[in-house]
Amino acid sequence: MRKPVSFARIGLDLLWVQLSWTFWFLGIILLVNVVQLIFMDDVDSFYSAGYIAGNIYMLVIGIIAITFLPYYVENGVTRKNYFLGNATASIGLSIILPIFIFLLSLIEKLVVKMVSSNTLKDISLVKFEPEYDGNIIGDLIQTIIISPFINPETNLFMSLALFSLNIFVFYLIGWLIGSAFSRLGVIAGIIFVAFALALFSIKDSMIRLAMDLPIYESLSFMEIVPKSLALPLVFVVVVVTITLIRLLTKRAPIKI
Amino acid sequence: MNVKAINLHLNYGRDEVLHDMNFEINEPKIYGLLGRNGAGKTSLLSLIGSFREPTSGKLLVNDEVPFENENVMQEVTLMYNKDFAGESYPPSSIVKDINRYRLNFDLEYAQQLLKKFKLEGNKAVSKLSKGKQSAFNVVVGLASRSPITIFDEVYLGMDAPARDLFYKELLKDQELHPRIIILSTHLVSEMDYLFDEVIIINEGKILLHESYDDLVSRGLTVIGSKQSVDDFAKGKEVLNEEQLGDTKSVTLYGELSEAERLSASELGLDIGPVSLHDLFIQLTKEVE
Repeated sequence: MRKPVSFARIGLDLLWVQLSWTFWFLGIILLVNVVQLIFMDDVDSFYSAGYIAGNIYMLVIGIIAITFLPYYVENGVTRKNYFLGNATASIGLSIILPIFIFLLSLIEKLVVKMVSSNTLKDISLVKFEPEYDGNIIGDLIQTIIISPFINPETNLFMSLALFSLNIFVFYLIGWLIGSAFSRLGVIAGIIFVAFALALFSIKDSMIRLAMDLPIYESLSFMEIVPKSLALPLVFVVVVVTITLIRLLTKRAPIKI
Repeated sequence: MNVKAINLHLNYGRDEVLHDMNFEINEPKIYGLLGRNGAGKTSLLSLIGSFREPTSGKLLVNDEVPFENENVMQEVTLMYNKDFAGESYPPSSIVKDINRYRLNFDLEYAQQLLKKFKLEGNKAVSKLSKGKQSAFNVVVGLASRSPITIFDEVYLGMDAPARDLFYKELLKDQELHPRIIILSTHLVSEMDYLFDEVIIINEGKILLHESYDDLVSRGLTVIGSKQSVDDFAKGKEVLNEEQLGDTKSVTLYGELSEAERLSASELGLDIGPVSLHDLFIQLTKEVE
């Protein structure tokens, strides 16, 4: 008897499929960015634009990732290998996507420099100050849309690493929401969405705390966390999310 | 290869779907799984295909629990009426993907079958007609060459010529690569000649599991005058009776002894075979 398919192969296949979606995504973001460049003056760099759009993109494909589960079980692959494979793919994707965006952004900058006097900025995200109106819904939404940012020109490695961490958490939370909906149904799914918002705000606040950035007012109670625990808590968010995904998919029935 | 059910139960919430099932299949033959709508066919097949876990009791494949068992799952293919709504790739590229995961998959054979079932174009599977999608399921099931291959009603959308092509391919490939094939179906009269063994389930229980020949020889119709038919049928298991004027026809279940056959001909009765289709209807008839 030949050896069953390894999770590494499934991970590579899943990475490739999701990368092929990502090429479309990058193409569209680039197109929007170029159109902005042509018609507007004060335009963000492709890096900044991708930084914001990447979060939502990863959340969405994370939600879709649960649909690979029935496909693999039907083809004789265990739920465990699907889980390990897609976890591997999501790490790979989270590392590759920022690098792609950064490289495209470099090329864009060079081209823009050659053809016009227009300058691209990375600063609008750095300058971004949370609005202190204390509205918890508004704050939660801002934690999702605007992740803590490090300018790639000040520290490229840290900037890419933070980018990867942000989108990785977004992907995992999307995957968690998708798993909850498919396993537990709509009502439990919605409860998981609420739980996901809590995870987002913890992740966001802890990264802000670690970076000495201000925390949103309605989440300011989290300032009591000592700074040294901030990053370990981000790690806890990742571990809790991954564990829940595994628990939800471990014995999931395939409904036919 | 071997599939064994021991006191197998499956509940969906409070609904009991499978109730205390016991059976065993061992030989690489074609098994017909028959049952009314909601009898539990798909649920039973889902357990064999590792799509679900039993609530209690055991389902074993080669004496191992199949659920999350990568060695067993590789050996079992369960094809069903899949919803292809989001499938934007053509059949030819999907079989290539499946070939990456299914160890016994024969890509060349799959491509031949795609041609036979006229599925070789570049049209996305989601845009194919229902019948073509069914045919695609059939192609994947046959080409997977899994030691346990299950077709759960996949042929329903296919037109008659396509179904006929499937039956021929199935028999031909089964001869070359014998495996356990389970066909669940409502098209009993059309497919009965394919079955080596028949398993009938009713309301979540195994009603019978016998070889096709034994089962069919056990059922018979007796036709003659009302009085003599009634006399002959007395004490026997009557599945069905019909009457027109003085002529009566009954369907009996059980084997006849030589003496009984003799007395039937003395009474001037006609004895004929019963089709599996009729037996199935009578055996699973709801008591009114």
